Amino acid sequence: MFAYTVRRLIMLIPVLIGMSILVFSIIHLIPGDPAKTLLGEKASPEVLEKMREDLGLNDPLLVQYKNYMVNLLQGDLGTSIKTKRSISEEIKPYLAATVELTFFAMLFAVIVGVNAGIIAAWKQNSWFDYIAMLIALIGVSMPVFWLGLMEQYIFAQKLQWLPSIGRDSILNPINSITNFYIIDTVIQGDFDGLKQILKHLILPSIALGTIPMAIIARMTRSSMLEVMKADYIRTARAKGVAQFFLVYKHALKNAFIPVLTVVGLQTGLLLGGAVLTETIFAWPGVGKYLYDAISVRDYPVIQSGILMIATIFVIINLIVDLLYSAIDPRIRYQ
Amino acid sequence: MAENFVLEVKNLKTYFHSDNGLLPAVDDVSFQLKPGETLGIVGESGSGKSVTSLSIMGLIPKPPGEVRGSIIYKGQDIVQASEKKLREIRGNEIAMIFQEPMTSLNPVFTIGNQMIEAIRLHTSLSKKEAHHKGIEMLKLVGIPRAEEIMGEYPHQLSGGMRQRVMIAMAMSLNPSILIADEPTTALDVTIQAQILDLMRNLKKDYNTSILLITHDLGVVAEMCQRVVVMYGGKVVEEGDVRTIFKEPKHPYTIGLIKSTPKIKENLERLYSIPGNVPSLNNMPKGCTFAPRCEQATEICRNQVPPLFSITGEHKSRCWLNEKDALDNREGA
Ligand SMILES: Nc1ncnc2c1ncn2[C@@H]1O[C@H](COP(=O)(O)OP(=O)(O)O)[C@@H](O)[C@H]1O
Ligand SMILES: [Mg+2]
Repeated sequence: MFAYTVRRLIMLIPVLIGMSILVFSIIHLIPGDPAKTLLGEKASPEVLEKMREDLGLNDPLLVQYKNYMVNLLQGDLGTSIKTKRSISEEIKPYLAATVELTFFAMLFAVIVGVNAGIIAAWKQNSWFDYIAMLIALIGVSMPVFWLGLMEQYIFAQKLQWLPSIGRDSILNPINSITNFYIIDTVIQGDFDGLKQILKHLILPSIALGTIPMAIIARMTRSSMLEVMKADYIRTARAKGVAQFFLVYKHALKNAFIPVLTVVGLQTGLLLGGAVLTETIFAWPGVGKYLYDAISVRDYPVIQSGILMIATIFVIINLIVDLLYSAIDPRIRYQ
Repeated sequence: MAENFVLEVKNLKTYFHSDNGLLPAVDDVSFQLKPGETLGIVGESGSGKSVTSLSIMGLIPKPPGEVRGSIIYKGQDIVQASEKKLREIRGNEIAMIFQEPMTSLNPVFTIGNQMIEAIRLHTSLSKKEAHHKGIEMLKLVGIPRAEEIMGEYPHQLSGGMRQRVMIAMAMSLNPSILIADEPTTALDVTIQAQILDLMRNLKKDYNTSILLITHDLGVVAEMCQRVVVMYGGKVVEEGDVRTIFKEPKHPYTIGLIKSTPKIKENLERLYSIPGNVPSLNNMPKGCTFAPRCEQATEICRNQVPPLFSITGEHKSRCWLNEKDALDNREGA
């Protein structure tokens, strides 16, 4: 397992280098003069020249890439053109907000999706199976913005059970240390705050988690049905293993392997910033941060955002691969 | 009826519901298993051997399956038994090994995990005791490095080794019956002989009754005391192995024997029975074997023959044997 992990980590190096080159090239792929594009046609030559100098566009390409990499390796993502602030600093709370939301959305998706899929497969062709799969079918085709708005209308406006927007209560903001509000409130022992944070998370988590939940439920069901036909399940039955353990021990561990792929992919998609959901719930996440940057052509921010999302995908891929090998010994020993 | 049996299958009928109606995979099968004997069930692929054994284990999926008749184990009809009762019997009193050693063990659990699970399901041994028991069983079936193998995964072992693990697992609870469904079919010849040897030795040590399912009469000759020949879901001939080989009565059995290779005759071209096993939704009206039988007459094609008693335990389901049976009855 250790050797496998090391091997996978080494394999990441060329991927990360390739990624950095791609992201680095973005600014050079802008047609025409990047400085002009950024500042507009009416900018004076002095201002344009200063911008080129700031962006390092006057240096040879290789020097530019070297500088970019040196900064990157020190955790320096450059400066936002719009706010003139360090992007590495600026992006942190957005990133934390997105990670927190994604975590809860996927927690909901996995717990509900996997169990619904298991029970649907176990009780194949029962009313539970039909209803669960009908809900899953509606779930995958549900427009997220509509679901979000409906949630807000019912649970926030009509019933007034849950807050409809934001990460925390405006009247009682969180004293943030790590940017992760859950961690912040727990380490400060602020349990009223924690309750507030969790309440704010519920509606956007469900809105965001519904599609992954539906996909996971369908995937789990079909994978379980396939595995339940396997010879080793018959062997376990012939040993006298009870149905519950047949399903949750013998079948699930095998059936989970393809489900894991879906979980990884969906997590990556959510972490990439769910602009729509973040907009509806006024959630200050990466999606919103990037969206704002794109609308004012803040190229360094866009670059950093893309790099961040790509890195997240790579990391999730790595985690999924490691989990595969933890579940399936045949991968581990290859 | 002074004789006592470990297992008595009476008029077993196993059907599968399908779009083409009820398919009789096992059609009125009866046989008895005596204490300490190895009974062979032989027949071409598709003749209902596996369905018979799975019916005994209570492992026929319902639906689409449906099991009727009775299977008497220890004076109790287990066709009617509850799932809970069946779970107590499975693995513990009636154990089973399968044809496909490559896929019969769970790939994501260690050999040890699967052995310990089987042992602990039916005993109150601690994990550690079960672990020791597992090692002891692996050694007993001739697996080298038994301690290490406990921590290994199925894909690290060869087919022969996996079948040994299956046998060790099946025998670990000292069952009174071992059902072996083509245990050597998927293995190559030398390994096949080793596995059969192992089963013979274990049977001697444990006095287990074995129900050995195979399509290979060579295996029957080597292992069994009695044999039941199945065709198209029915028993077509039954008797002790010596009689069946010396005086086979049913044309199907005769064909099977002719098509079994013998070491001395291995240069000759082997005989093979013409035609194929009929499919379940297309069963002939009379004797199921009639379409492939060279001696079939009018009655064969129209009327299902009963199982005629020839001598003693020797029975045959063929109209040609009607006279033999009558002669015997008159002589007696
Ligand atoms: N689950 C099932 N559903 C429908 N038909 C089945 C099922 N299992 C077995 N059969 C049919 O029952 C017949 C006997 O099969 P089987 O007992 O496996 O034969 P064999 O003698 O080769 O072991 C075959 O025609 C097979 O197609
Ligand atoms: Mg079979």
